Amino acid sequence: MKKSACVLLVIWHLFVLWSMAGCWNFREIRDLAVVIGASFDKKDDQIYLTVEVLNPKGGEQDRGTSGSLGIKPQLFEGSGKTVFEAVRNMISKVGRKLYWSHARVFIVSEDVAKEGIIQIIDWINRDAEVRPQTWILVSKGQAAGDILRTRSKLFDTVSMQIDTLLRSQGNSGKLLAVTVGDFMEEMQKPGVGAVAPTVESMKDEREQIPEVTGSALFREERLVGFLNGEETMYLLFLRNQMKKGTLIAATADHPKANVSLEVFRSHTIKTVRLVDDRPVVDIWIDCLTGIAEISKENDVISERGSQKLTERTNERLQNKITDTIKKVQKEYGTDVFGFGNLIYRERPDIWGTIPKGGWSKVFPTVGTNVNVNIMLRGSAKLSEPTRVGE
Amino acid sequence: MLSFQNRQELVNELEYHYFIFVLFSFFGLVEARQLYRQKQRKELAFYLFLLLPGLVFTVYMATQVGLLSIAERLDFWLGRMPQ
Amino acid sequence: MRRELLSFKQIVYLLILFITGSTIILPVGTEAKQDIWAAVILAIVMTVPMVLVYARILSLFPERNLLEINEQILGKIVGRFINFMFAFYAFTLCALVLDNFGQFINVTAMPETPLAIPMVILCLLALWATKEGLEVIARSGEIYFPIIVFAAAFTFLFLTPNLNIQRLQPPLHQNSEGIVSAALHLFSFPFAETVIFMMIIYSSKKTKAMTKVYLAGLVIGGAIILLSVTSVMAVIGPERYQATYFPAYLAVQTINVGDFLQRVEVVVFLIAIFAGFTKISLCFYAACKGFSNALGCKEYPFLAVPLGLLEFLFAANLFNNTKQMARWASEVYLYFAFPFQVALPLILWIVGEVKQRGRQGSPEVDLHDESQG
Repeated sequence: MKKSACVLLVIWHLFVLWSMAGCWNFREIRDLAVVIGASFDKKDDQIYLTVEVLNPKGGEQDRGTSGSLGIKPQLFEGSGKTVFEAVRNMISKVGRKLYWSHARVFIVSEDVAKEGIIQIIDWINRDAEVRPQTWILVSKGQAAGDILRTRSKLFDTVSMQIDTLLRSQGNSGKLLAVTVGDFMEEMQKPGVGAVAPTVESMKDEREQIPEVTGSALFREERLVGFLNGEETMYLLFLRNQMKKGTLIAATADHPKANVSLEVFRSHTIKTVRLVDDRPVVDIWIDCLTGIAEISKENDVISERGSQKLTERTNERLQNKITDTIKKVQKEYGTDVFGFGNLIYRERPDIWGTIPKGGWSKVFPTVGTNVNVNIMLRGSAKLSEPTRVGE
Repeated sequence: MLSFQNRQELVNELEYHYFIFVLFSFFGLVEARQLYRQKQRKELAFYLFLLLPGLVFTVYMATQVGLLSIAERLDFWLGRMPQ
Repeated sequence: MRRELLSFKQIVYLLILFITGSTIILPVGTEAKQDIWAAVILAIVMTVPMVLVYARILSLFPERNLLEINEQILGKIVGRFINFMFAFYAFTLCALVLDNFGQFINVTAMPETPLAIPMVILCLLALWATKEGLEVIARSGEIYFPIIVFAAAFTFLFLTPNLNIQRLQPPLHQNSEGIVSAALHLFSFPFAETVIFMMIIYSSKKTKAMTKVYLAGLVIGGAIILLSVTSVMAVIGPERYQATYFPAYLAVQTINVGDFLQRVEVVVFLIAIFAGFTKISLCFYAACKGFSNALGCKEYPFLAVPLGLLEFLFAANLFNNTKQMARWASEVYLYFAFPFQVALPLILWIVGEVKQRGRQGSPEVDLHDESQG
């Protein structure tokens, strides 16, 4: 009797244990809707969320064309008073729970960014599934959802195209790639304004395609202005984020002749000093370049010619960079170059004299002194300019 | 009446309190019997004195939603309201 | 009662695991901001004299742990009361660490699983370990230690590309208040928590030099904490360090080596769970021993099951959310732990020194004491 009671107890116990075993909230991959990109718009106090969801089953016939994996994205739209409500409201349209860990791109519309981006970015940082390594972009002049509605030609989805582009940002030299985590950090750090790349949809032949163009500047949490591609390049120089890109240099002898320089490596050092109680930032840019293209028959390769070329380029670049700084100081008043943070880091005594929250008033008066040092290394495959026979 | 349509539902119905209650009751039975057999009366008394209120509280916890946490209670007693 | 012997190496391993335990995942020393490294060093320096006191007490009374020393020098009633207090401290600490792990797993990995599930599993493990005895915990520590060292070294190696020294600037600028406050918090959690060890180890022939054991554990454990918090700070910066509940997790998320090696957050879980298990088991073991002593019982393992249940219930009801946990850790814990970490050991040390001097004067008392103990 006793033994059988014991056995019964053990069996009952095993049953309970067995039913409890396994994952509490297991999710099979077929139950997930994997989000690869999302965009945030706002209209009449409602946040409109558009997500690009991977549909791993669809479009198997397309396999093999132009590097496509045969994945067809599906777009879903949802709205709510908050981002989280919009996400949850979307479940009723998607049919599955959205899975955010693989999201690559978040696009925020210009209007939302102007109103304040915290309403979006707080959720991104708070949610356990969303990773802070996701790229953040601002759609310029149009709804963010329209960017996702464009068609990528080579990639399966628009988000994948933007992701690949931003990952290899170096090659064009006019792109600034910012992850949500970096954006958050810059927004919170003292003495630096956050930046994000801008994306637009462009008409190309018949279709609309996405294009990442320049950068958006933020003061605190609000969007205040844009920089175009060229200015973004100077911004990259100033933030010491320049990796690879092109520079156009003109020579003295032939004003119209352009020489393209390819940037191999660039390094920027910034220091700060006080002149008459006014902070002055000295910027030294060391840039290793090679000649990539010479558009007129002229001598830039010989010692004398190349010296002239570097001098001209240095001067030109210095002027352009100074102009960009002036423009940002005057028009936008947000310290996207991180001068304030430089002062905070290296001269905390000066930083201490600036009243709290007063940096945006001091920033436009900061003096700058740009020194560019271009170093020429090689001229690619050809040793001479292309000569014309007589 | 419990309806076991799937595992998830079963788990939700039973809740983990039940699991804990069964597990510790089982442990308790086995060990208390052992202590009783070994005639360790003092130990047995302490054992039951500690275990039984725990089991009762487990049942109480299973029936309650949104219990005040100990930290909140202490805050209340010490007259410090949480910010 | 069976004596449980630990080797020098085992105790040092346990100390290191105990110190790294939950510290490695929690945002410790946020007040110091970018100067957190200085706060950690200051905290270690502050802990050294305390640790010397702990070691001295144990060395004064060879073959006895704190509980027996209390009974011997303070008398049966007062000693047992003090032991009860220490046991309560160990019990509370165990619940706090359990809660940390419950919250950690709940917030980062399984938001829909009830908080209590990871807690009850860890609690059952600690219960089992306590029933098996200290030697088993020590041996498991010996197994875990190399795994943790490997995992931590691996993580650190892949974090190096993301380290940015600018995030640690400006160093030591008008931040002495923050550093001292952070160092005090770091002193009470985790370094001076090693007072728990006094309840479970004793100086014997095998582990003669208590000072050496304690210092080795403190310095190595402290160095690991120093390295980990400084690198985490250099990866995510003071602003995000302060804003997040589990900064190490956030820092490891940034690891991305060639798009291939990424999403290795699991490694943080590995380190945290192994070290955390050791900390929870040791605290629980100390609590069981302390309570059994206070209740006047010779054995301790029979208390494991009822105390385990109470431990779980205590931990599950301690805090309702992570914010409460963080607030209590930063505002209350320091004052709660002070008597156990500083005041009581100091009193015991002075009383012990005086009694031991007296004993040396009159050998008769010595004999008497020996026969009693």
